[in-house]
Amino acid sequence: MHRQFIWIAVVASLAFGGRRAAAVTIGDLIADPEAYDGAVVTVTGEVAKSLPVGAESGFNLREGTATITIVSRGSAPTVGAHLTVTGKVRVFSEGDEPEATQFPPFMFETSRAPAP
Amino acid sequence: MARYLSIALLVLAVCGFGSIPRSLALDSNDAVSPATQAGGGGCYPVSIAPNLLDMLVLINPEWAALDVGAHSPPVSDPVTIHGVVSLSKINEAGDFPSDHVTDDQNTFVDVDPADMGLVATGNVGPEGVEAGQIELEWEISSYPLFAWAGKGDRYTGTGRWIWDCGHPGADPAGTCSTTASQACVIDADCAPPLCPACAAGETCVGVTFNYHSEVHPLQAVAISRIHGYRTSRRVRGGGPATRTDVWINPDGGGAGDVCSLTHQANPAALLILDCFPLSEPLADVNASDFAFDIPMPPKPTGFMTRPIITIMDRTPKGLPRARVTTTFVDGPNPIVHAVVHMTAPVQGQLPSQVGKTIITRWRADPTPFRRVRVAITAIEILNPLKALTPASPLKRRCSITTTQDCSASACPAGETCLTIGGPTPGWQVFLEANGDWRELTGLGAVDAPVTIPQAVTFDAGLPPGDTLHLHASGKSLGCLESQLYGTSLARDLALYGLTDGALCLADTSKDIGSFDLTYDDPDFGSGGSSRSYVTQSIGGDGGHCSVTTGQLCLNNADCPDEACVVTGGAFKLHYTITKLR
Repeated sequence: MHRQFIWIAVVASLAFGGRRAAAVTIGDLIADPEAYDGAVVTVTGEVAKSLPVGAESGFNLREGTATITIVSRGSAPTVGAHLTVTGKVRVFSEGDEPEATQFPPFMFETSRAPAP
Repeated sequence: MARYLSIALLVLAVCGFGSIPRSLALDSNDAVSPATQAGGGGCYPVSIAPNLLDMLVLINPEWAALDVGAHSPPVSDPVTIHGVVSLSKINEAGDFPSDHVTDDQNTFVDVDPADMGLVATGNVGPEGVEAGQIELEWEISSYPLFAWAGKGDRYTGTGRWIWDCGHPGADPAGTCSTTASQACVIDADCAPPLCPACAAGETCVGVTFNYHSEVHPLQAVAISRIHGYRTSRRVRGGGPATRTDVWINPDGGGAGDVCSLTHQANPAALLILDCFPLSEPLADVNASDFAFDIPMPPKPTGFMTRPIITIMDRTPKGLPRARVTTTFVDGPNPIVHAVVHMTAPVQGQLPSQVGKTIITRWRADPTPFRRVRVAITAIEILNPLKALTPASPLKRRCSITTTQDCSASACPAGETCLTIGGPTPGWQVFLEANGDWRELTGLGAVDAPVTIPQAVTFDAGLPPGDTLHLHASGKSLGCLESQLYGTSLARDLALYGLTDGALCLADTSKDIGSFDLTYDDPDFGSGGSSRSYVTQSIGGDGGHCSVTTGQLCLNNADCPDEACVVTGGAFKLHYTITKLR
């Protein structure tokens, strides 16, 4: 299983070239997070929750029924804003199987802009 | 040993222990019932489509008392559980750091039929560990190695009976009360935006939670192992005997602290809560005496004598040494009933931390036995499992004025300059021979392939039919375990910031692979005299780059324009088994 995920990630990273962020839907990302682990992607959505933490922020970006958390070195965006965010996807779990907690995927923002 | 296990297995088979019906166990849905949640108790699940910011509710608290009785949460009375150990290890993938001082030691026990009322449906069902098992956890810093268990050991443990709130295991999910096509876990899943078609006021019905019941943390354990032992504090091989190691300690780490266990009305409060250093232990080890039964080794045919019982104290220096009384109970399965008197002051002071080792044997037992020595001579680390680029960038910050970069200017008087993020060297490996656990040394700086000599020796006595079980439990440390244990989320955010803190949190320990071997009668791996082995671990993380095959890797990022081919087997253990008798 693990190896399968690795290979999926390899294929994804090769497809994305590691140079230009691939545009994906948040729904795609949530549906198969391991396939995007470590990849740089661009997603677009509406800010659903926004949490300032010092000069940084965490916020949820929603597209339809799918939501992903963005961790940003920048300030907290306004709830309701439509943004296009590029960043690196991370997936991780804590604890040993079968009791491991699989955390939802999240993104480390490298850039953001108002959605067109 | 073999006879004892056979009897135990027979009892379990008769009781249908391996296939306990779910209806006989506690309902794991009770963990989230309004009655359980009243007054700050119970667990709180997340949405069927959670996001990272939602996850705080899973640790609010991370462990909820299963039955508070006449108390108010988080206070509850401890329970005592009995059974046979199926697995003993550390938490190899790490724990949530803001409510742990150190990693947990995890023991999985096949529960005696009489204690099955302590096992929940979630332990038994599809999200469970094994049917009829319960997990018992205690932080490593609170639990010395001499009292860790091994597979097959008889286990008596007293501790906090809890729901493991971090793992709701909603399986199968429920459906919204009107819009039945919409799967859900909580009521909020039955409203926009997750369910645009749902009507106002719909609720989630029919969800099956699989929260595990656990004992976490322990406050007292008695581990009985039937092999061959001499009468000594250190484990030394001898004739058939039961060695029972006892440890009592009110310190349960984060899982036993009032501050960590108190439910916050708003989960966001966890981001500013700081419980360290822990100061409110819940356990009262003086509320009752600690009693347990010690199984005797098989009685030699025709023996009518009483056993020899030797009690050795392992209490930390300077602390009251609690009295132990024993009573021999003869019968088809003779036992020694033991009581550690925790309610009785010793020279005016009640006991707190208490350690004992009790050896019980039949006088002049003629049963033959083997004695072997296992000498661990080295651990050869083939792949250190360290990413080329650290997960969280290296920073230096003042210990109190956390925003100040002390690589540029000295910290104010009285503060220290902390190094955070950056490379996280180090491995942690524990090794056991039949439940005799040791930690390998010299691994703290591991960051490259290296062979580290060891001087670990196990001395095992093995009656006929016994086995020699060698088993390792370890990890390559990630940023989480190297740097975040014992600090609150509030302090982590202050020191690291949100982004680097999240990067460190997501860098969990790496799997070094499995080492789990059993050597049988009659030579127990000695080859009749002495035999040396170099055994590689199986599975786990890491490998080599797909094209540049000489390049070790942890993940694809370590192999630019290539892939990391996962091979596992990150270490080899060098050891010799020598027959002494």
